[in-house]
Parts: sequence; C-alpha cells; structure tokens
Amino acid sequence: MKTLKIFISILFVAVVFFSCKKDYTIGGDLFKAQVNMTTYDYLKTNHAFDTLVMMINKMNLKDEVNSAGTFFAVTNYSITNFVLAKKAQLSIQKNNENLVFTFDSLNFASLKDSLRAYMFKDKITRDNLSQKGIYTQALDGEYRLIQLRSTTDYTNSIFTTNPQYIYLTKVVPLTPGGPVPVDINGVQQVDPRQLLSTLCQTTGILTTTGVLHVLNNNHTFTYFNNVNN
Amino acid sequence: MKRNIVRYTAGLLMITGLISVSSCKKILDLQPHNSTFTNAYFTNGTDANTAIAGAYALLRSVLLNNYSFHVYGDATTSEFSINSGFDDANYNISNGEFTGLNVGPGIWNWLNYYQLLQQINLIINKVPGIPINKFSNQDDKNQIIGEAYYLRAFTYFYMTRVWGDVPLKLQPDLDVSQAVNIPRTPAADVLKQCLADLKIAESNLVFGYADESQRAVRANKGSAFALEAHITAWTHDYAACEQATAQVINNGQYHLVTDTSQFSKIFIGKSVEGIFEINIDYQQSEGISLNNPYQSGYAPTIAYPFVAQKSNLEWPVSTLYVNTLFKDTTDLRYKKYFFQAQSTSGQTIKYSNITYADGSAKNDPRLSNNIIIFRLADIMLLRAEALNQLGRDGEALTLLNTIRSRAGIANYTGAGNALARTILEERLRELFYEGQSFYDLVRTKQIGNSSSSFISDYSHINDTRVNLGGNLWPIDPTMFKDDFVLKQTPYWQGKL
Repeated sequence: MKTLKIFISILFVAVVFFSCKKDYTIGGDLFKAQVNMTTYDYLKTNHAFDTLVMMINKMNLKDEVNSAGTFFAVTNYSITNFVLAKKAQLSIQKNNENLVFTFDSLNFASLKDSLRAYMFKDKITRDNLSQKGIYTQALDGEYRLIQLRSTTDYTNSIFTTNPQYIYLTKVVPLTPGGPVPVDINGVQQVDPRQLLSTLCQTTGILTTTGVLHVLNNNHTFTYFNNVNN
Repeated sequence: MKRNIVRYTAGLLMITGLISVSSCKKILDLQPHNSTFTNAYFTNGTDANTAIAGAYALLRSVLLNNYSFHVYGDATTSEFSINSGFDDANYNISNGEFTGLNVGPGIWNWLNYYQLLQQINLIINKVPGIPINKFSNQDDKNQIIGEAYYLRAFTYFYMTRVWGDVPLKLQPDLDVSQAVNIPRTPAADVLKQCLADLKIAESNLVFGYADESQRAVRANKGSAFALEAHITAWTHDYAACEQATAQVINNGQYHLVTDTSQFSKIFIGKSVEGIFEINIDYQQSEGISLNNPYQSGYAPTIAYPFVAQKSNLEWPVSTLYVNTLFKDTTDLRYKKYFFQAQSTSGQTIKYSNITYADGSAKNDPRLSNNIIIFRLADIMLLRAEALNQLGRDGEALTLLNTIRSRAGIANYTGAGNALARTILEERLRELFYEGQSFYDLVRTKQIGNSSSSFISDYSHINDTRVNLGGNLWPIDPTMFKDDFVLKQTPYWQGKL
C-alpha cells in the first residue's frame, strides 16, 4: 500500500513536470509586424503579388519601391481588373469585340507614374493616422487622402471604440477638368462622390525598407473605371 | 410485508382518485384575464382598427423577412453583382447559379404568409358582424373590410408570382384542432379569386386620403385599382389593365413628383406619387435597425458615406447592367439613384434615409424608407405597356414621354415592338431596385436561359424556362413533412 502511494505521487510529479512542453502547441506564433526583408523581396515571397512584381520588373522600379517609405501594394486581382477595364474601353474605341488585350499589351513606360501614385516618401502607419487623415503627395506628384474609418461590420458596435480600417482615397473633380482640393481642409468640403476610396485588406507590414499596406482585391489599379478620373 | 404494500397502494390510489374527482372544477373553467381570443375580441371599432393594423404589421414582416421583397424582385435580375464574401446565398441567385439547395430555404417557405392570411381572413370573417354603431368613425367599417380584401388579393397575387400554385385559404381557422391541409390551387384560379376580392375592396374603399398620415401606407381605392392593373397585366388581359390604370390615373388624385430636388422624398414615402407602401418610419419608432443582431435589419446596397460605419457593401450595383440601361448618362435617375456606379462598389441609394439613434456617435443607424410597392410612375408605364399591346401607340408614347421628360432624357418616337421594348427598359430604369424588375421581365417574356443567368440578355426572347415554370421558386421540402397533399412545383421536381 505504501509503495503504491509513493508510486502514485511520483507519477503525479512526473506528469506535472514533464507534460505540456511548448512544442505541443501547434501552429501560429506571436504577432510580429517586422519582416526581415526589403519591400520588394517581401512582395516576391507572396504569390498574391506575382503580377505586381512582374510589373515592377518591367518598369525597373525595384529601387524606387525599396526607397519609398510607404507602399500601397495592389494584388494580382487589381491589375486584372485594370486590364479588363482597359480592354473593354479599347474594344469599344476600336469597334472590335474580339480585341486581344492582355497584361503584356500594357504600355509599361507610360504606367510608371501610375505605380508611383501608390508610393509615399514618409512612413505612414496606423499611429500617425486619424479619422481626419492626411492628404499627402505621392511620388508621382498626385495627392492622396489616407485616413482611418471606423466600422461596425462584424461587431455591431459591441465595443466602446469601434475597430478602424485604413483607406487610401483618390480625390477626383466633380466635373471633368474641374478643381481638386490642395490640402486636407479642402478635402473635408468635397462632395462624397469625389472620393474614390479603397479599403486596405492588410496594413502595417514593416519591412527593412519601409511600410507596406495591401489594397483590397476589388480595387482597380489606377482607379481606372471611375468617371471624371 | 407484501400484503401491506398492496394495502398502501390501494389506499394511495383511492386518495388520488378522490382528489382528482373532487378538486379543481371551477379553476379550470375560468376564462383567461388578459389574452385576446377571437370570440371576446372583435366587439367594437377599436378592435377592428387594431386588427387591420396588425395585418399591415404582418405584411411588413413578411416582405422584410430574409430581405425577400428585393431577393424575389431584384436579385433574380442582373441588377447587382452580389459579393459572395458578404452574402453568399444571394450571390448564387444573382449569378444564375441557383440550383436549389445552394440558396437559403428561408425564402422558399410560405408559412409566415399564412399567418398573415389567417389574420386577414379573421378580419373578413369577423368585422362585418360588428354593429356599425360600435365604430366611433362609421366610415371605418367599410374601409377596414375593403382593406382586408385588398390585402388578401395582394398577398395571394404576390405569392402566386413567386410560387405559382398556392393553397387558397379563404376562411380563418377558428379552431386549431379543425385545421386541415389543403392542396395547391392552380395559379389561374388564385388570380380569379384575387380579382373577385378586389371588386369587393373597390366597392368598399374611396379615392384619396382624409388623414394625410395614412397616405399610401393604408390601401384606398387607388391602391386597389393599381393592384387590379398589375394582376390583369400579369395574365395578359391588357384591355382590363387599361381600364384599371385609367381609374388610377384619372381618379386617383396622384401626381408625379416633378421637382428634381425632391426625388429622394419619393422613397422616404407618403409622397403625392405613392399608391401603396409599407410603412418604415424612424419618427414613429418603426425604422429598421441595421446593427441590431436580433433584427433582420439589412441594407445591402448602401455603405459609407451613407451609413457612417458600414464598410461592407453586400450588393454592389452591376456596372454592366447599369451601363446597358443608362446609355444616356444625363438621365437624372442615373445621377440621383446611384453612387459611383462605375466603380466595383457602386451603391444604389434610393433607400438611404438613415437616422442615427445615438446621435453623433453614429453607431446605431436606422433606415427610415418606406418599401414602395406601387407608385404613379409605375402605373403610367404599365398603362403605356397595355396601350401598346392594344395597338394604341400614340397614347402610349405620351405616357412614356411624360416619364422620360421628368428624368430629363429625350422623347422617344417609335412604334410597335420597338416601343414595347423601350417601355420595358423605361420600367427597368424607373423601377430599379423596387422589387418589380424580375416580374416585368417574366410578364413581357424578355428573359434569358437558365444556364447563364435568369436574364442573360433581355433583348433575346427565350421563354422556354418560363413556359416550364422555371421563373417560379421551389417550395421548402420541410413543408412536406406534415402536409401530404402538398406537391413540389413541376419545374423543380427531381431537381432539388
């Protein structure tokens, strides 16, 4: 009887000390925003950006991507949307509904500035954004509004402070050729129809060269489809 | 020991028997104090008024349930490119991939329609028996009876457009134990009954509204004729449709809203153009809460900036469809009813009157737009369709061009089939997202094949599926469980 008691207590101690090593938790790790690569190299590792990487290569913009403080990456879907929209427009212009137009048909030299419109000099992260946002110049010289917007999607306002998403917004004139605002105070006065907003599906990836945000798949590269653009 | 057990048991049984025979007589015979039951209800005008209000409330919940009013009428056309990530069930419908089981069964089930019909039948059965002197306003009695017949006709017409043959039940179940299952009545007979009901409704109702707060949200004679016009057009009896629309237009005291800045007021409701609407008004504490998880509040066609904190747009407008219809982008309706329609997240903003219950925090949006069921522009275009079918193109053109000039687009001058098509397109433009488009396409047989979409190309006349009954919805298989006389819609037999 006594040996049994001792045996059981030894077993108990053994179980307590030897079970549940950390290795037993499967999958996932602590969240780390930093990746130990340049922005360009990081894009290369993720297949969602295959087309974007091809585009950067064809445009020789690798160094500019890596030197930009902030880059809003578009996924393959956004570039496909652009190609399809461009194709639809051209087939009407040329009155040829069998027009062949693919990614390779794009004029990459003239699209360089379109891609630069997604790059910014400063590092823009959630910490230096607000609901009002900043209206800042992209590397092609155009202005973009970058702001936080709160949402009740999925939460039904159960939190006292709602979650906030980052949006990249292009401000277009109300009528073709009309004026666009030049500073953030002007942006707050515009008609909502002038704001072409895109939700970021992933934000705040910190690479060794800058900050990377990813625009959602429904975005069309260059905001091509919008009238008065 | 054994004998004792027998004795005790016998004693116990005797006591039990004695108690059950002698106790609890009067208590069980008491009538409940607070509940309403049919025989004690329906004694005066107030009862009748609250009963009809209850019927309208049930109609509202039936139409809002699963967002079915717009699912049946709009998602089935190509109006929207529904986002599968946010609304998968309705995506299947808009994409033409509706093969039965991949769509939520909530919209196949008609049980809540029969709750509504029970209430209506109860009113039709009981209100005529209330003495007229029990009504504080003696006009109310005819009014309520007329409205009840109108609602019954509307409900059966609505159901028969969705399911075809439906069980026709004209008497209330006063005793649940006596309720029996009844088979589906052919759609043609259901529609005949609807027209018979409407004749009674028309004789009991009057044109116009004495009380402005009831405008369009309670049926009147104009609503009844508008419904008659829709039913007769559905059965292609255009001569009768022409007469009913004439009644609405000439005697209904309705006017088109011509002030372009007031267009959005049409969809807030109770405008001079409204003929029949479902009341949804935040001021009367009857708005739809969009954030309450316990209510079915749903506004899939709008998001930021119309709902401050909503970033998901479940039903973006189909750019292709909009561009096909609105070739003329100077069309005021294109400008007023859509927001960034050329983008992949174009919003339809007819119904976007949002009030925030929590003020500037804007966390609790309430939608305050009536559901517009019939309005004058709808009936004018329906009359144009009827006149065109009857060979009176000249009169049809006048009506069509009234609607076109209000929208700021050029007058049309055509005739025959080209005119018929233009009238249909005008209906699709004017009544976009008003729960009418799909029925319009079915009625005019401008409907595409089933494999690509319900409407692949509405210039192409392909009525094969319509002739097979493929425009009708299947009925929920769970309803067969306790009803052996029920049969599945022919087109869907063996397909589910």
